Amino acid sequence: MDKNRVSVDQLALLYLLIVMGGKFLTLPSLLAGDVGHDSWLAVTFGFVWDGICLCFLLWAIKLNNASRLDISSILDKSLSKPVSKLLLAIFFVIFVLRTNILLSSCYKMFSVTFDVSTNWIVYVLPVAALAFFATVKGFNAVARTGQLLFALILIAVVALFISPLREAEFGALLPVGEAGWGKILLTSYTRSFWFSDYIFIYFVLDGIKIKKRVFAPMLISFGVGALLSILLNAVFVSLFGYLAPQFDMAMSKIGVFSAASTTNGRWDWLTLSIWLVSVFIKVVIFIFCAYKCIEKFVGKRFVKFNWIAASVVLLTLSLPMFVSTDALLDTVVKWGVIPFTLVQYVLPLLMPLLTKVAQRKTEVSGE
Amino acid sequence: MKISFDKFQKLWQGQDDFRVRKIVCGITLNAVCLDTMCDGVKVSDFVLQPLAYITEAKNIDEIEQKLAASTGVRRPPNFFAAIEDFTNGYTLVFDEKDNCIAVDTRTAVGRSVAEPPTSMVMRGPREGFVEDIKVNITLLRKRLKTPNFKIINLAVGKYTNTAVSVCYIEGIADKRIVDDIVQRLESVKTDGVLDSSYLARYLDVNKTFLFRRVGSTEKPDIAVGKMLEGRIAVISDGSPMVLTLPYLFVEDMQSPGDYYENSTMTTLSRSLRFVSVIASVLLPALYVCLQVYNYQIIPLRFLITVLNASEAIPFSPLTEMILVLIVFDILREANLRMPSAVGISLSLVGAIVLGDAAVQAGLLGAPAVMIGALSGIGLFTMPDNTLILSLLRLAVTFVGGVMGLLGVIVSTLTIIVYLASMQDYKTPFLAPFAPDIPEDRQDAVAQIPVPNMKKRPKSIPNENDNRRG
Amino acid sequence: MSNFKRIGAVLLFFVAIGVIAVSFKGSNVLDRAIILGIGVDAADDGGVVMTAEVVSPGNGTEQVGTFSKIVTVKGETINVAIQNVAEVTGKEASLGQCVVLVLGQEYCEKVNFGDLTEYFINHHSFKESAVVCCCEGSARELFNKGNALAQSMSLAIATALLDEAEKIAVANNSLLEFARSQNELHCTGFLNRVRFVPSQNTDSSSPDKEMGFISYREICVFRANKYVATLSEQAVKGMSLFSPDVYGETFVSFQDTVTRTVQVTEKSVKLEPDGKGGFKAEIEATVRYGRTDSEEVSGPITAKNDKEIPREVLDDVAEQMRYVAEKFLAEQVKYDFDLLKFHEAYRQKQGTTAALADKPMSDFPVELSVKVKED
Repeated sequence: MDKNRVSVDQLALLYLLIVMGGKFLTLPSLLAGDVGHDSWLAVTFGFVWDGICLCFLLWAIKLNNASRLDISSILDKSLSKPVSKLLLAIFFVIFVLRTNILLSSCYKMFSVTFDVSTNWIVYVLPVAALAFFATVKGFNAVARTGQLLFALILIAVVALFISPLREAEFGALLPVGEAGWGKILLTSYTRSFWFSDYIFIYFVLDGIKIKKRVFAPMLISFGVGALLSILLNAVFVSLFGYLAPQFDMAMSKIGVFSAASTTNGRWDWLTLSIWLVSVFIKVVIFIFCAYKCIEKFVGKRFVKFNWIAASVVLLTLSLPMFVSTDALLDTVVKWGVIPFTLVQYVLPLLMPLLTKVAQRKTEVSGE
Repeated sequence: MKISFDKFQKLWQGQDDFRVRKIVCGITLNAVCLDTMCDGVKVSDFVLQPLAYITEAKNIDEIEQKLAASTGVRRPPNFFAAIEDFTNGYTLVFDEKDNCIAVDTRTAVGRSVAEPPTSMVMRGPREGFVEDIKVNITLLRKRLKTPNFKIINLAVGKYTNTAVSVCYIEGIADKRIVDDIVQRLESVKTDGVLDSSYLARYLDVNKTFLFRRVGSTEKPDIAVGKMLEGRIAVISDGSPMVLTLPYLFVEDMQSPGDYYENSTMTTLSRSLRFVSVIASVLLPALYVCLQVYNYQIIPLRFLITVLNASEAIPFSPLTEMILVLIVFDILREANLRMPSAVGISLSLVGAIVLGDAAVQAGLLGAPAVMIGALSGIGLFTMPDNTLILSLLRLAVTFVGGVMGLLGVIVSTLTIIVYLASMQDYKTPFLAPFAPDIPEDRQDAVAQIPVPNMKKRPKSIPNENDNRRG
Repeated sequence: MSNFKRIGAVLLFFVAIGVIAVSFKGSNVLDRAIILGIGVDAADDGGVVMTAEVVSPGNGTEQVGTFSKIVTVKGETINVAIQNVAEVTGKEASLGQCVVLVLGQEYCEKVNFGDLTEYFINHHSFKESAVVCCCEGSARELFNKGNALAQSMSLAIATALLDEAEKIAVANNSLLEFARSQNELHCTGFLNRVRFVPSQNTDSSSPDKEMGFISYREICVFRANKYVATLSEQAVKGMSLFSPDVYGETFVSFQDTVTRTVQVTEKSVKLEPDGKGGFKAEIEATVRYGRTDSEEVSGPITAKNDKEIPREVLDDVAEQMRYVAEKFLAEQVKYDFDLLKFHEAYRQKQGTTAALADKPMSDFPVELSVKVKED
């Protein structure tokens, strides 16, 4: 059995977990700081573009079903090797940066919310160990883990939403578009780094097992994930008002009203911990993808676990020890938004075409 | 190697239970048997008496025809097969040309069929497997009156030459898996097989570090039930535990009595088992990490109780909980090894007196003892993996105590990724949940009524998934 | 070599465990001073006097109010005061279980306490859903009356305001709502005013013991973290009429020598801009006879019955409701506070502007209609 094989259903559930995993941490407060109560609109625009790109990517997956080419073969054959390597390098930077941002948000959440304070490297090591263990066991194991925990995580998220939904006054979101539509659109672009979660699919392209449908399960997942993310942003800004930009751990704050009764304790934090599992699953997948980027960049299949590649990934995860996350966001992410757009939003649109070209070239060369 | 009476004599010479009788009945025959392995009456009735009445036999074929009284007469193909039969209690009859006939005269010494102590049921059959492979196959055959019930016999172990039978239902079990199992058993190189659990290690494809990967049952009804789902049973002589393959994680949470109760009750009790296993592994870790890091989560009144109970305790919450868990494991281990009469009093004394005394003496806090005990009892809902879960519980508690919720999340995820990655005989260990196989969820934790189960589980490879033909 | 590898792996494992164990710094719950409630008063030298109710293990069970002790400290800022609590108790001060924040009235009236609410709002452990209120006199005195209540003062206040207030027609506020009300748009909000009311000693074994209960029916209004006014009793009643979640208001009607008490069980409140710069308010209340005194049993004051409430009584109650509601609206205009979120309603239509934020309440005329029906 190929340990990296994954069915479309598994992929859909993982995608939903990933969408929910990263957007409920710092993003709502950043958006609230940018466009105030219109942050939910910025999220909506982000998802609209994501949805379009996802459809093209799914089309490419369907086309690729017969040949099962991996991302590097497609890019090598359709765009030439140097371009392929350049794109893989951009992918690597995105995965590493997103993992770093996610990990540093979790680090902050653990130290601030859960009182677990330690130094960065000791915090990252167990998480990286988990990610590399999962890499050894294969993407299939991660997908199955996602399937197993999916219902629990979704219940936790819904449970966290129930009481804030009752408390939130959605009138606070009016008037719609007060920040200005141009500004909202621009914010949705400048914060696009947090979106396009489908990029991990590029690195499991050759392992996707298509039985029946491709579009329906993936688009349902996308829809649910998008809806929950938009709802969270709406609830967050309407609940916290002027305080929203200050609360950079949206999910840990949002459950506060579930524990409103005098002597209940913060039961909501247990639910929060379950949701955090999805963040770790996202981290694991991104580290897996970063590792795969190196594998494909080198152009050699790692039959056994490659310690050098793992060390390179681990080394990049120590970035927040030297540069603060805010600095990272202000510099690398801000300036990197254009090259990132290339792989986040342009490449998916071209993927069906590239897949076709690659397939034709493969047939011609008789591979 | 060629069969030879002289070689036989040389091999067994000097052994008190080695018996040789020379009989002349037209040709000269030598009947040999191991007195300790044979039933004297059977030797007399099935071998010696018929031979005594023959006066003018011409060859061994004629002798074989005359030994019709015994149900088991065969011609061992080679010397090793002859030795295997001989050591299993067959009487061997040699002619002058070293032709050999093996006559079944095995003794039926062994305990009789009784209710197995490891799987008692309120309702349902009470018969259990015994140590005799023949009886065990009889118990299966009694329930599977079909020519499709097939048995492949093997002998495993250089010195023990243990009879091993691979049983399956033709047309249901996947033949490729049957062949795979037979091949694995044939390739076993070992001195001896004293119990089926020896074989289980060889049948575990991935040599799993944790968790049992081969099912075992002491009840023929369960074995047959599993065979009807496409599994293969492996019976080893001398062991009342019959192995079943492939094995799923959820099987350990299914009790023999589940199929004899109402499906709603079964669903409820299985859910309870499921919750109790998860709680057993996570509860001590959560208790410690909430005390050390996240006291905010604990409801205020319980927090005050915990504070009052732990104020006088000389240990940190982590040490206290690890102590409780270790004491509980020691009690359980001692209880298993003690003679049953002492065992009962030990478990009671241990649980009540030791726990209470430790609380009174201010060594352990009452909430910690309560959580340790609750967690310990919960583990027994998964009898096959109790020890492994207990070990994991200790590990997760340690990690949770040191790293807080981060540790609990990371360690739990690691365990789940590990479990999810396991796959033997084309069967994912965590099926039908990971991967999700909706059709199989009809009898995983929840159970639909038996009449509605129309399909065999998809997670177990089979050749015919229709339960009704 | 393989033995070396094995020993190396085992050593590495233990070193890793050691490093991880040393690097994570937990804090045993016993080493924490768990604060249940905080009272803040003004200090003479400009700082704050903080009174904290701290869980004190070993002092008793949770049944009687002996599981906590009261600590009073001074500090230049609230942060320093909390550090001083740690110093006094010898443990790390932890606010994760703090359920109530009480501001002494003198402190409220004198000081702009924006920094204080900001501090607690941004504190990682403090629950934003905790109850915040002010009290008569000093918070220190109030917290020290715990023995007279025979229970924890913090829990008593929190339970009363969180769980009970809504049922007896008293609106209440959480820290988050209060903080938002003081910083957004018109910047006005309210706090319940808690006070200790002595009662007669019924314990013959300790006749000198002080006994009493806490009253929390009064409401103080604040604007931009400064005290504005204390609402009159009628205005408090009127305010609760405008709060849809709050119910239980009672009204007494004297008709034909019979006293009838009715209680509001349900109501719907519609408060919408009328398009002419003002508001249209519609209160529709459902009432039933009060639980104890109603009609026709043992004279003019009677037990509850299922009799129909006469129309004239309903009209009388509607009139009374209109009176208290108008009283409240008048006080809103008088002191220029906006507890009914008139400014917010216009913001939702027009967007946020400085002109709107500064608009006085007198610029929002209200057309009020009250309807009463029987349950």
